[in-house]
Amino acid sequence: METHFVVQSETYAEKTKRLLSRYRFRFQVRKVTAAAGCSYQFTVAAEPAAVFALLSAQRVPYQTC
Amino acid sequence: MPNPSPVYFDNAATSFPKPPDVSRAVQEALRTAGGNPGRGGHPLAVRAGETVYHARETAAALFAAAPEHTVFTQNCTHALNLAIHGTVRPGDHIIISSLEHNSVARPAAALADTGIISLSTARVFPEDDRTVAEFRRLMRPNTRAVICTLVSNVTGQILPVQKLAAVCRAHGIILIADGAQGCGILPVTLRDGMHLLCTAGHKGLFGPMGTGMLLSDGTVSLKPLMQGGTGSRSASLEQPDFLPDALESGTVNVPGIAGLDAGMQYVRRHGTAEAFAYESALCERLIDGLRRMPDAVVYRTENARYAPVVSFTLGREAPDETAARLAAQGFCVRAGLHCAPLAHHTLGTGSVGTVRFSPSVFNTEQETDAFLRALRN
Repeated sequence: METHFVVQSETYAEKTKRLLSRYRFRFQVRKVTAAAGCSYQFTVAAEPAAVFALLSAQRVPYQTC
Repeated sequence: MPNPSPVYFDNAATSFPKPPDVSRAVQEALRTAGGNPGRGGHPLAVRAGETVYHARETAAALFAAAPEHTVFTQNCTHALNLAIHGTVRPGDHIIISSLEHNSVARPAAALADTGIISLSTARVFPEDDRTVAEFRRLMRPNTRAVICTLVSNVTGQILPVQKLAAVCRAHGIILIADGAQGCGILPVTLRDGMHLLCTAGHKGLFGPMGTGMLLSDGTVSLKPLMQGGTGSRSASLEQPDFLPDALESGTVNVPGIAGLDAGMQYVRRHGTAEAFAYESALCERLIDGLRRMPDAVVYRTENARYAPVVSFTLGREAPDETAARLAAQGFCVRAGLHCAPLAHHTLGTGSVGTVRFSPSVFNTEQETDAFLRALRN
């Protein structure tokens, strides 16, 4: 099971990387530069419920994709 | 003949010298992190972004904040304006202390002069409890914020911010603390209870000039002073509503922030208690010497607590003349009103001000003794 989401703030992308590492999630992140600005596409090897609960608890502004 | 290597006692204006790591970090950022953070996916932009985030983490660790609630600013004045203008609403009442710098007094006065808010000034007493009681006396149902410096930039008096925070929180009032003179010297953190902590980066935190920070406890929503590019949510014409993006429009000062990071790491390694004790001992040495000079007046009182800053005057010699005489002998101090006319009015020195001596951990007893000798010349 993989969870995909996008973070559009560099500060929160850095925070998300540290959070996922701290909670021992396996993940990949890709920085994408597009007309709408930079975004960070995360792929996490875990159930969406667990990942999104963590992001919500830590008030990370993310978008599902 | 002027001293070829000036002795710097003006650290309340900006600290000098900086720890060597600070200039190394600035150079490293210029050399290796030359991209625009958040504005590209290439390696130099990513490196710049990591540099900035690392500084946020250092600030967060030093001040018990969240990294994303650390907003980088141009200086403390910028941070205070973000906090003050971002907090108040039409019809609000705010209270400032009688020792505030113009970085607080001017934005507060500007808001009051245009009728947007009403403003009260709380007299600061030597005794903390009297000061807190005065703030409490001035509070009204529509009091939105109290703005208070941690340390007077003129006399070094330490204000009872922790006690004020408890009173403010009990009344639902936002406490904005001006940490320009206290951060790096006092063990201040957001756990002291203020909602917003504003600080210069270039004083006790040893960053380069052009750096400052606003640290939020995350409970106060601030209207931005300006809008612009943040590298986030670029398709929207609305300013992002989350920190730090909401308040960090435009490219941030990456080399300066890298230097500030190194300065804050220096403070974390050495601790504020060590700096406070060392610099206070230099101030006591100066005060002992001044007390042997019959015409010297030191602006300290018995019941107050002081950070390592000393204001004094010498008889009929105007403070700017004293400072000029010292400068000619190779000593750097600041004379006059120190951008704090309220404080000088409170002291009774509002016409000419004082001479301010503000050492750092890089000054020595020998330099302090030489300063005293220069005063007697």
